[in-house]
Amino acid sequence: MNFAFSAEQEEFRSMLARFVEAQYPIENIRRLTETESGYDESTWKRMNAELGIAGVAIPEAHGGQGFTVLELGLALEQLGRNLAGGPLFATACLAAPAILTAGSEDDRNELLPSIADGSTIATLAFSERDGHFDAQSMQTTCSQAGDGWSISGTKSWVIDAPNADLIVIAARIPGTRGEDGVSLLAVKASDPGVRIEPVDALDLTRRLGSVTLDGATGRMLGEPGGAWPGLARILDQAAICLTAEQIGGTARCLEMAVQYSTERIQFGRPIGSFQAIKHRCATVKLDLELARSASYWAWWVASEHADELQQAASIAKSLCSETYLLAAAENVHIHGGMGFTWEHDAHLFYRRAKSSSILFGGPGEHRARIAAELGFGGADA
Amino acid sequence: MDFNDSPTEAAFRAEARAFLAEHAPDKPIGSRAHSTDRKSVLGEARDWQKSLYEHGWAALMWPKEFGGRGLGFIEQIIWNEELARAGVGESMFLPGVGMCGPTIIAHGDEELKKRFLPPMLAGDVVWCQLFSEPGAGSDLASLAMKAERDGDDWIVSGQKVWSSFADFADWGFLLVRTDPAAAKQKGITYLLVDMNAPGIEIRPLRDMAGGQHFNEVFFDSVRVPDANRVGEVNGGWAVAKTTLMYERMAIGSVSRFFSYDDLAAFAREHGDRLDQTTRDALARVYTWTRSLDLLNARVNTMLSHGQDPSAEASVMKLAIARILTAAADIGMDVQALGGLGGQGDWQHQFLFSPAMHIAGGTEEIQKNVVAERVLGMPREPDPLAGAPFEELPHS
Repeated sequence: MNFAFSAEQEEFRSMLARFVEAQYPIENIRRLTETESGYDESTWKRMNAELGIAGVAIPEAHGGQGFTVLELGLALEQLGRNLAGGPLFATACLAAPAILTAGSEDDRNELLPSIADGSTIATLAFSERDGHFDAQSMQTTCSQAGDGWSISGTKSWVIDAPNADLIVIAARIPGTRGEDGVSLLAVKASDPGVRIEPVDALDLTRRLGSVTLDGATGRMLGEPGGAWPGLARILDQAAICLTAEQIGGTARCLEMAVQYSTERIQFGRPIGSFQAIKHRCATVKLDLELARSASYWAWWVASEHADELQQAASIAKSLCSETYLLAAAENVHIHGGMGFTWEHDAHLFYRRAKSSSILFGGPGEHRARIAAELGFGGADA
Repeated sequence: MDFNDSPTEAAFRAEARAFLAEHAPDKPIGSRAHSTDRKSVLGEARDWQKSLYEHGWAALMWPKEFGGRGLGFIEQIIWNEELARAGVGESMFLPGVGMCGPTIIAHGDEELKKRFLPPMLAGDVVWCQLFSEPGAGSDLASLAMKAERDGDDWIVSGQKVWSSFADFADWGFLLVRTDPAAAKQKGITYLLVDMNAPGIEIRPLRDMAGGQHFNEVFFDSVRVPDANRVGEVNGGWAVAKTTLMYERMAIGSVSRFFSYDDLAAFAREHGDRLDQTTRDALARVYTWTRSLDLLNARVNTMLSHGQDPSAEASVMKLAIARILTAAADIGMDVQALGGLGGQGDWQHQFLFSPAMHIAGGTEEIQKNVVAERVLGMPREPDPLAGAPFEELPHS
């Protein structure tokens, strides 16, 4: 048993930490919230040219660095500290694993290299208007049309859709139901049958869009109709990747609150010397260390021990979601009136925390999954 | 990162498991298996301790010269896991082997080590902790038990409380006030005391769960040889901190107090009658238990790499208390009206769980430790800091 990162992984972590502090200070992130794309293209290019982040977990044969979710997690944790990374999550945690999991060798060879080097921004469109993402909710259809496939329907809440060059669409073969017939297809954002509309998002630092497909031309990834088991794994792995960002953001919120509490003087002493403040921070620290342990373990499961993937995703995602929201709310609260202003950074984390909690299933949904897996039936189950 | 055993670890685990399969007692030796027949409880615990000692399992991390095996943290952890798996509870030998022994190894002279360590391991001697007092709980350093020098001895008078197993103990590890004119932490001395010495009176206390394992201990001019001192005169606070650290470590993993599998099996017995809230609570406790085990594994890895895991370790006790309270609540609720009964494992767990938020440092103190030592938040201003002990107000 060895619950520690290797020397190389620790070195990678500090490299990332230095990069994020230098290139993605929170002032820059704030400035980027005002822009249409929400990210800075030159930083994105540097991050990929210097650190190869988009391709970190893509095999070398397909132009990546050939590492695992462990290394990707280390990067996301550091980026999450500053709400940074732009379209990295959509590209590296959704689209790339989808192509890697579902695609044929030809699909991978053709699509992954430009994703790995950061020149193609990509995403995965899995949810639709009802806001759920189980197989039943997927109503968009894909039909064979000549040599290719034609896709019609609307995908909603697609992460970084407005920035994407390539979108992997979850669609179904007409006439199928449930998990049968679910397929993954790659479409170009520039396809004339694709219309992407930005969505006004709670999280000001991550772009969302809806994608309307009207006979768009798609490239079928793998077997038509057989994508569901792979897609379920991709979404579990994406949830695990998101927990890396969540613990980074949680740690940052706690640091901000602690820092402020040592500087803010009321009643003649720093407010951080009052137990009422200390105990709030200590509780966040307790939950952070539990959540961090679960998240790190889940990265390892995603890399090395796939048969526990679903449970690891649910344990880590439920804990990290509640902990991030707690930390973000406490951070607002400990900053007092200042923390409630638009100008303060606290609300950016508060918004991100709730959005991340909802993405890939909220804590209650994940606990319901755990309860079912552990065999706790019930009259209303 | 690898959560599987290495080949050496797997071999050690197999060795531990084989020993336990053959020798472990069939019912828990638990510290709470008390009161009914005290003689047989002591007898069973002693037999088990002797068996551990004879087979080389009594103190894995102690140096070989004192009867230990000189092994590392990883082996200790594997052993703890296998003990929990075998359902063997902690016995009344824990305060000695787990707390006082490591303190003597760290701070005692050669004479003390030779005299006290071997019989402690061999199960010949039961030890008890004599730290808390009626006026010194969370603020342990304000302890008042008086010790005055008389030739080669100390004459000790005062009262201790919450001393587990004092009624079984042959020896105690004791904190006394030796310089009331000094600041409170600077006038404390650490002594080892023969519990059969004249002037000691032990009165058992009954806890709210009906159990009887801790005691009040009264000292009336008890003579303790200075040769039984651990560390310097008035230097006992640093020694005590070692004991307290080992006490927190001995609390260790949640599996010592509760098995999620037992809770899950108990809940499943109630099958399709579980409501949505209870199922959610069961899943929540599961996520806490799993993540605490993982946090435990992180702490253990840090220890085995020679790093200081105090940040992570200090939150573990808080997590354990939270988990046990939530688990006990579920254990009661799934019984429906059956929870009205006075007896049962979960009734006991429910009645016992408040202690987890108090014993070994209250939740408030633990949170102060996390906030001040881990997060670096400012200490509460103490207008009495550095004041002589004898000028401090007392309740």
